[in-house]
Amino acid sequence: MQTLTIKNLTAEVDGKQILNGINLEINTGEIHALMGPNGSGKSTLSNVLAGHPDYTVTGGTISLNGEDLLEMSVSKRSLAGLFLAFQQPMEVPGLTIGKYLKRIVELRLAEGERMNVSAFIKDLKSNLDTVGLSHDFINRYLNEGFSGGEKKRMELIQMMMLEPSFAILDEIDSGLDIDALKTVATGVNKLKGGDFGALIITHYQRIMENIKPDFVHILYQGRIVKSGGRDLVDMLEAKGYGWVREEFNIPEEADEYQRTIAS
Amino acid sequence: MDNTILKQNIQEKLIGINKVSSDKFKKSNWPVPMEEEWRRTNLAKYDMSGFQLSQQTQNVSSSKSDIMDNDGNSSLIINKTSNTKAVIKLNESGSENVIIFEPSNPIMLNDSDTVLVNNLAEDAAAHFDNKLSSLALSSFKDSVFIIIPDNLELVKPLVVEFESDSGAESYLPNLFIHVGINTQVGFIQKIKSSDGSSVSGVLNVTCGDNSNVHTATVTDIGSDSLIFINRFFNLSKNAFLSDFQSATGGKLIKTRTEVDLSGEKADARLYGVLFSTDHTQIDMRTVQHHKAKNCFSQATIKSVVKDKGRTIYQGLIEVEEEASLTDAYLTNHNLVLNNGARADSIPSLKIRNNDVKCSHGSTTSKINEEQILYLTSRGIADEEARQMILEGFLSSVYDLLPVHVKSYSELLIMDKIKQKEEIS
Repeated sequence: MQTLTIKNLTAEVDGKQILNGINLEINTGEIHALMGPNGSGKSTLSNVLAGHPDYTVTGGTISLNGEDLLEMSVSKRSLAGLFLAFQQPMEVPGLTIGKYLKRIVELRLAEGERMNVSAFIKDLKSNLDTVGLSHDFINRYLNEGFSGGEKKRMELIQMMMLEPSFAILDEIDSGLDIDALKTVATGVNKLKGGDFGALIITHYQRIMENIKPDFVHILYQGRIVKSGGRDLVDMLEAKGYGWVREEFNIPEEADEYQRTIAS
Repeated sequence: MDNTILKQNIQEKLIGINKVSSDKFKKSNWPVPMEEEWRRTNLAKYDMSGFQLSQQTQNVSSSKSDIMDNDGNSSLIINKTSNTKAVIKLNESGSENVIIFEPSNPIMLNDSDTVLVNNLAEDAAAHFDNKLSSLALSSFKDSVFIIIPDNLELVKPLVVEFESDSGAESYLPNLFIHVGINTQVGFIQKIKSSDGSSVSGVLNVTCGDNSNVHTATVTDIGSDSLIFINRFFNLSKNAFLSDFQSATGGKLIKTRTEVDLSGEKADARLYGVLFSTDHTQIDMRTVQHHKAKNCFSQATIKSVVKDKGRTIYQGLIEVEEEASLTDAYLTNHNLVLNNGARADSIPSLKIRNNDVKCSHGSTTSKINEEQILYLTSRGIADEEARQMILEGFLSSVYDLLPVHVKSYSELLIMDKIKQKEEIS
């Protein structure tokens, strides 16, 4: 079993403190969901985990199997088993998906191990089938001219090809219709098991119908204010985030987020 | 055709052209920034002393040898002088019909081929007009003339490698090509020189009716070298040209590529990749000159600049009054890798007919750091991520090239980019 541990994490962006002490432990074999209204710090947390240079950690620790994640470069974090699905995946013109995926899979081979190209292509085609993208995508340039849904599916393809220990799926469900959501869930569920843990970051309850999380956390103003099981999702569905504010005596200003969600 | 030349020795005719060009060279001045084409490349800043008329006699005798490599491909090596050589790779059956003529070691030509060789040289002398092209034409000691007979189809390209290992004297790697009617043929011209060399060459290609021609000029020149190349293509009716040039290395590379679309329905595609690093200046000009009806032309040029490198691209679409229904495009994209590197883009149009479709566009951008984050977050190291983005940027040009040109040129320039990456 592997473990990703976040302790008392505080972080800021543009001099503004967004995370106010996050504590979270994820083991492989577990699916966690992190929910919260806009501005609660969800994306900041995923950016900090990825190592985005614009985000500064001001306190606390993140460790991956006891190793200090914050000391690792962005690429090293990935090679250590962490995967981040981007909210807005970048387009890289001229770089074909086939060539790109082959390279990132190759980077994970043990020293002296040779890549089995035909097995790679077979895997890739099967994964494309799983997320409902045609095999033509192998020769397309990475994310260039893709629709929002295609980009999200391409994130999943990468996750499935890399088989990370931990995946952080940052709003993988945003902008997707019901069918696409089901596809995303199929992708995540395909990896679900003893060697894989995930943190699904979302402010929609909908995706939880297809990906059944083991743990649900509610993020509010940079803190995890409540953790529980799947019943928390139902509670949010029924009562909205206002209930969280009341329960934890959070000042009125937070209502702005509530309205955003409602709209 | 001028039958009088048949009675003369072709050698004498060519020497006559050399003499006229030598005189022009002596009488003219170096181009100055007052001329629009030279506005951004001021020769006063460069040591032009290496660009001198040759002291050697015109009738230098070259040796020739045929070799066969392990794949059964034959090469013709022409040792032009002790310091320069031209290697011509003829890779398939059918290529024995190709006529290769080198003035320093002439073969007997039949009457019509004599006229063609003479015309190629004369046309070049009449067309090119600056001091550097006059120098190039002042001697044919390093020149190669190629005649592709009518109706010949070759799948593999002819590779012509010009190489000089002495920086002492000006190197004049001229290539003249006549492509007959109903042909299909490809050429790769590679110009290689040692450090500190002074190179001026012309390329003159005439493409006959219904010819399908692929050309590439790839320069691989030593550091501190100055190179000037004047290229001219004339396309007859229904001729198709796909031309590629890549430029990297040296101190200054200045090229001018002009395409005359002289016959109806001619089609020219010009592609270029420039990679400038250190203090290299690369100045490329293209001219898509529409002289006949219903022709298509397109120029797609990409440049990458790094360190203190600078590229200048000047593209002109010129449409003559009689060239109605012209369809012409010009695009230039530049990628600037760091502050201090610079890419200039000067597209222009001269249109004398209203019934045309012409457009030009250019962009200059930096590597987006979010792209780097994206790729590194998948385990790719930072340097490799930059390399991938750069290769991707260029591959949209490479992906448009015929396979043989792509594989040959891409390797060369990518190697160059990688070498530079390792050094920096």
